[in-house]
Order: sequence, then structure tokens, then C-alpha cells
Amino acid sequence: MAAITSRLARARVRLARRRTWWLAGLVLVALVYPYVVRPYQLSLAIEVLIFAIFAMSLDILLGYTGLVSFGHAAFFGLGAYLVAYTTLGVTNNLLVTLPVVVAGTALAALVAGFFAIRTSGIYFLMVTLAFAQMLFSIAIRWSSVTGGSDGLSGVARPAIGLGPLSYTFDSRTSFYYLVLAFFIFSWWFLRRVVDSPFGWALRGIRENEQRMLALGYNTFRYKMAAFVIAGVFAGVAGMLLTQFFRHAAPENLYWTTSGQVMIMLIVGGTGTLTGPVLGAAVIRLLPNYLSTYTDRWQTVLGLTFILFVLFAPRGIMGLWERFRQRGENREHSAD
Amino acid sequence: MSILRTERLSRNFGGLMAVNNVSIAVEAGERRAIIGPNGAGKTTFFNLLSGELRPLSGHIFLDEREITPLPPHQRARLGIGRTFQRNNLFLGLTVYENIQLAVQQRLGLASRWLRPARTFEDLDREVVGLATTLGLEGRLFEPAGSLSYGEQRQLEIALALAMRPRVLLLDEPTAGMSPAETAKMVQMIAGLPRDVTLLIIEHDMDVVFSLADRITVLHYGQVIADGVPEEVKGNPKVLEVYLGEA
Repeated sequence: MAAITSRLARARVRLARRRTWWLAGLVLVALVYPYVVRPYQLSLAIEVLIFAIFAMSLDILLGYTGLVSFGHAAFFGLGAYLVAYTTLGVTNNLLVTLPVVVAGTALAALVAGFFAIRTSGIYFLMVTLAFAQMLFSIAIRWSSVTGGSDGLSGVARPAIGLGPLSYTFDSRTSFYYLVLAFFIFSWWFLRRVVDSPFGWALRGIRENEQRMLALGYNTFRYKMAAFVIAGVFAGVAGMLLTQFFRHAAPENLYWTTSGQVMIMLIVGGTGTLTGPVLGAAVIRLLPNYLSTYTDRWQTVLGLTFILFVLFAPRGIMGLWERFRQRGENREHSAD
Repeated sequence: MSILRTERLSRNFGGLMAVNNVSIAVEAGERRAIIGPNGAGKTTFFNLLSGELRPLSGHIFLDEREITPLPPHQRARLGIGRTFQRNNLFLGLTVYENIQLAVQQRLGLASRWLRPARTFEDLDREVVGLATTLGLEGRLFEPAGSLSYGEQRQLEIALALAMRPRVLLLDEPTAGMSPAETAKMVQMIAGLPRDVTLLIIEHDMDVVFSLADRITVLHYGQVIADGVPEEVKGNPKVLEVYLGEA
């Protein structure tokens, strides 16, 4: 027994070391990136990182807890409007706007979750969709506050400051670094969450909720917590997108946004955190390259999605896993 | 004082009374077998005790405290553990992760949300220890879904034991097992400490008589006999139910 445990520990250390090198390399590339690409490519990277945060947040719900939300844009858009409203009316200081976004989306997630989590399956999907569409119609109709279908424009890039010391992330490069910092923090934080006992409990709920109840878990609370965590990170992503484009738009709340992030998850591979990041990259970048070759790029995107659902339901991460296992099998048979 | 007691407990499915006015009292440390023909209401009775089903009427007491209105997870925390007649596992997770879910809940670690689970040494030690007790140490990192039926049955028991329940409800623990596996399982159950009170639903009479201190016989949802094995064996009503009317 001790042999198994120690062998396992050694394998873990080896894997962790290899992963550390990989991550260090990736961070290094990300740090020098603004200096080797054109501004347009830098903008694409900013968008990909923001949508990666959004997609990772949905993965907590959909991939880990098994709650298929079709209204995740609600929190993305809420974060967008909260930061726009606060920036226009009060300040662009992140030390104020970030807490407003976090507290506002957490509160909204508590309220929406309280009703949605009483249901499951298709009903959960419908309730979350309805919640997001409700916010969308408020954003369209209540134009004195939300700017109606134009949204809120002229949102300043964020600053961070205490007293006389202040720095504004005005340039594209400085804003890129801010987004990168948010992305790295989100990845690290959510990875900690899914590796924790709480994170395993979420997987347990996905696999078999009835058994979790029989083991003494108050599953409602766990699902609520997952819903709030997912909502807050989606809100932060929406905040960053608004600060980047200097604009909060009602489309951020629309069901197509919820659909797009769900497609990112499915293409990347759910329940992996890394998969959604890859999915966000593919779904945001593909149209840019495709549109230089064809006007029908949306058709190609749709076909890509259908092919993944049919032939690679576990997404890019599933394909990678299969590829690696085949490699290992070949190594073993060569021994 | 009885650790678990029911008072005129009833539950219907439509017009059928699956459990009908059942009053039993189980002493702490007792091993109680619940037997009866198919459809006698044994599993329904367990589902009422664990909270999966709500009774139509009647009361359930744990340590003379009424638990009738409590949901399953609260009863589990008060010390009622159970296994299921059909394996009810986390099939996509490994054996290790299955047991981990049960152990971390009991250790009060389940709501720790920012520290990796594998860094809790007491958790790891208990998971490996339990897997070894149940003979699953060689399969720790296999998905539960890839285990044989008998191994899944063992894992089912491991999950319940991991909770360290005071009252353990075993729903046909040896169903579908080979004679060799059955013998091992009976030995394991017989070796459980006496601070666990056992209620066992079982069809195999050899298993019943080798484990039970007392036997309750259900028929059409009603208790038709309740006593030590010798009494029940000689009870004419029980013979009639099992052998048919002569």
C-alpha cells in the first residue's frame, strides 16, 4: 500500500514539475506578446483572455456541477452595466468599480440562484434563460438609466489609485497587462476551487446528487455557492470587456452571448477549466481568419461546432487526452 | 433505550399501502434483519428511514428524537447511513474519489474551498485505509464505472462505512454476488464494531441467520412477525408466507 502511495506521490511531483515549466513558458510568452505583435493582434488577445475568464466561470456550473445554465450572459452583462454606470457616475478607480461589480453580481446570483436551483435539467436551463432575457429587456426599455439599445458609451479605461498615487490603464498595452493579471488570477483561483474538497463535492453532485444527499451533503448550498462563484467571475469578464471597448451594450445580456460561451465550453471540453480557455480562443479567433477567405464564416463556425458535438463530445481536451493515451500505449508496447 | 424506533409508519403508492402501520424498535448495537417476500415494502421502509421518501403518516425517532420531518442529508449527519439495493455510486469518478466524497463530509472538510483536497493528509489516510478494508486497494484509481458488479457492491458499502454511521441500513448487501464474494461480505459485516447498529434487508436466509440478532418479517407492508431467529423460524404465519398455503 505504502508503495502505491509513494509511487503516486512521485508521479504527482513529476507532473507538477513539468506543468510548472509549461506554465512559466506560457506566462513568459504572454508577457513579451505586446512587443512582438501588431495592435490588432493585441486587441484579439485581450478579447480572448476576457472571454476565457467568462468561459471558465461557466465551466464551474456546467462542467463541474452539471448545471446547464443558458443565461450566463446575465452576469456578464450585469458586470458590464455596473462598471459603466459606476465609471460614468462616480469614478473609474478599480478599487471602487471592482467591489461594485463583485458585490452586485454576487447578489444577483444569490437571488437568481435561489429560484433557479430549485429546478434541474431543462427547467433550470429555462429559468436561467428567462432571468437573462428579463435583464436584457430592462436594459432595452429603461433607457434613462441604461441608454436603451445604444447602451452606455464613453466608459473610461480603469485606473487604480489611492490618494495622490494613481495609474490609468489607458494604453492598449497597459490594459492588456491588466486583463492578463485578471486572467491569471482567475485561472489560479478557480483551479484552487475545483481541486478543493468543495470542488470535488461539485463533481459528486454532477455525477449523482441523490447519493450526495445520502452522504449528508446539503447539495442546495453547494449549488448556490457554485452559482455565485460563476456569476462573479462572469461579471468581472463583462466589466473588462466594457472597459476595453469603453462601451456597455445590451447584446452583452442577450441569449446569443450565453450561447456563444456555451459553444466555447463544448468546443474546448467541459469540466477541465483549460478546455474553455482553448474554446474561447478558437471561437473568438476563427471568424477573424475565416472572414479573410469567405463571407460564409458563420456557416463554417456552425459546422465546426456540429462536428465537435458529433465526433468529439469532450472537446479539444478530449481529443488531446485520446492522442496522449495512444502515444503512451505505443510507448508501452515498444517496451 | 432504542436507538431507532418507528411508530405506526405508513406510506402508500396510489391505492397500494407499501408500508402499513409499521412500529418497530431497534436497540443500540443490534443487528436486525428485515425479511419478507418481494414487494413486502422492505426497501420502501428503508427509504422512509433515510428520508428519501416522506411517510403518509407515523413517526420516526432516532435516540428518541423525532426525525420524521428532516430531509435525507440531515438524517445522514445525525448518523443514519445507508447502502442502496441497486449500486448508487459516482460512476465517472475513481474509487478513491468516491470514498473521498464520503470521508471529507464526515471530517467536516467538505466546505473547504481553496485548499487542494490531496493536501489533507488525514483525508488521504482514511480513504486508503477504507479501500484496503474493503479489498479495493488495487483499484483505487479506476473509475467506479469500470469495476465488476461485486466490487461496486463493496464500494457501495465503503461509502456508507466512511460516514461512520451509528445506524447503518444495508439493502441486500450480497445481492448478485458470487458465493465466495458473499462469504467475504458476511465476514466483513459480522466484523463491524458493535457501536454500529445494523438493519439488513436480505433474501439469502443463510446470511440472515448468520448475522441477525432479531428478525422482522414484513408482508404486504405489515409486520407479521418480530423476534429472535428461533421464534421467527417456528412462526406459523411466516412459514405460510414463505412456503405458500398448504
